[in-house]
Amino acid sequence: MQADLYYIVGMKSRKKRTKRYDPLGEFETLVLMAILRLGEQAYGMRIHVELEEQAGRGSSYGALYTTLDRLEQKGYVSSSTGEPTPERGGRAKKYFQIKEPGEAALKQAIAATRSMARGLEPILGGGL
Amino acid sequence: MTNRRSLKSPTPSSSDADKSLARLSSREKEIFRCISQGLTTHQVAERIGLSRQEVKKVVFRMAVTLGASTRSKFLTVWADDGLAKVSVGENGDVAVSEHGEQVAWISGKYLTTDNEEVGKPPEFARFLLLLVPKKYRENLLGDMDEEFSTIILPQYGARKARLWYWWQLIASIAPIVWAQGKRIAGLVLLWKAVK
Repeated sequence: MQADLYYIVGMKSRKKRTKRYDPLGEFETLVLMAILRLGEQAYGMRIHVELEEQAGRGSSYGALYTTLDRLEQKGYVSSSTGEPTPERGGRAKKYFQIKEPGEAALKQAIAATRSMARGLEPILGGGL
Repeated sequence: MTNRRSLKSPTPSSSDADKSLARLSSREKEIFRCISQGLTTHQVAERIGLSRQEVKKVVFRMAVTLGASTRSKFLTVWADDGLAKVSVGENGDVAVSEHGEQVAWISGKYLTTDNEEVGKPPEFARFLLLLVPKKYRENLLGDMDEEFSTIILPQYGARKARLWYWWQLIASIAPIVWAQGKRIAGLVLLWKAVK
C-alpha cells in the first residue's frame, strides 16, 4: 500500500517537473525545424522549398498552410506580414517565427525520438 | 507564343544597394557569370565542379538576393552593375562584352521568356482556390506564384511550370474536398438513420 502511494506521488511529482506540451506530429516537427533553420526568412515558399531540399518531403501548399495554422493556434508559432513583391503578384509575405512553447515542444519531440531510438542500433544500423 | 525576347530596352533593375552584385560571394558571382552567359544548370555544374542540386540552390539564393528570376533579368542586373555591356540583335540574340571585348553570345532561344502569356501562372487554375479557406488563400497564392516564377519557370520551362502549378493546386484542395465530402456523407447517413 505504502509502495503504491509512493509510486503515485512519484508520478505526480514527475509530471510537475516536466511540463507536457501538445505532442507534435512528424510533419509539424519538420515544419518547426524548417522555420528555425530559415530564421528571419521563414515564409511559406521558403519553408516549402526547405522541406523538399533538406527533408526530401514534397508537400502541397495546402497541407503546409493547414499545419502552420494549427501550430499558430497551439501557440507554437507567431506570424507577421512582410513586404509585397512583384514575384508574388504584389501580395505580401507572411513570415513565421517560432515561440518559446514551440521550441520546448520541439525539444520534447526530438528527445522522445532519441530516447525511443536508443538501443535500436543493432537492428537499424549505425548513424541513429 | 514565341520563346524569344528582345532586350533592346532592358528594364532597369532597382538601384537599391541590396540588389548589387557586391552582395554575392565569389562562388555566387562565378555561377552568376555562367548563368548570364547562357549556360544551363548542368553545364554550370560541370564547369564549377558542383552538383546540379548545389547549383540550383545557389541560383535560387541569388535570384532572391538580386530579385532576378530569369536569365534575361540576370543579364539586366549584370549590365546595370556596370560589369558588362549587353547588346541585342534583331532576332533576340544577345552579345555580352566586358571592357570592349565580347565575352559571350547567347542565342535568343536560350533566354527565358518574360512573355506575359507564357511567363504567368494559368489564370483559370486560380478559380479552384476558392475552395481553399479564405484565411490563407492569399498567402498560398503568393507563395505559389513566387515559386512558379523564381524556381519552376526558369528551371523547367513554361509548359512544365504550368503543369506544376495545376498539380500544386489540385494537391492543395484535394484534402479539403475529401474532408467536406466525408462530412456531407456523414450528415446524409445521420439524416437517413433519424428518418
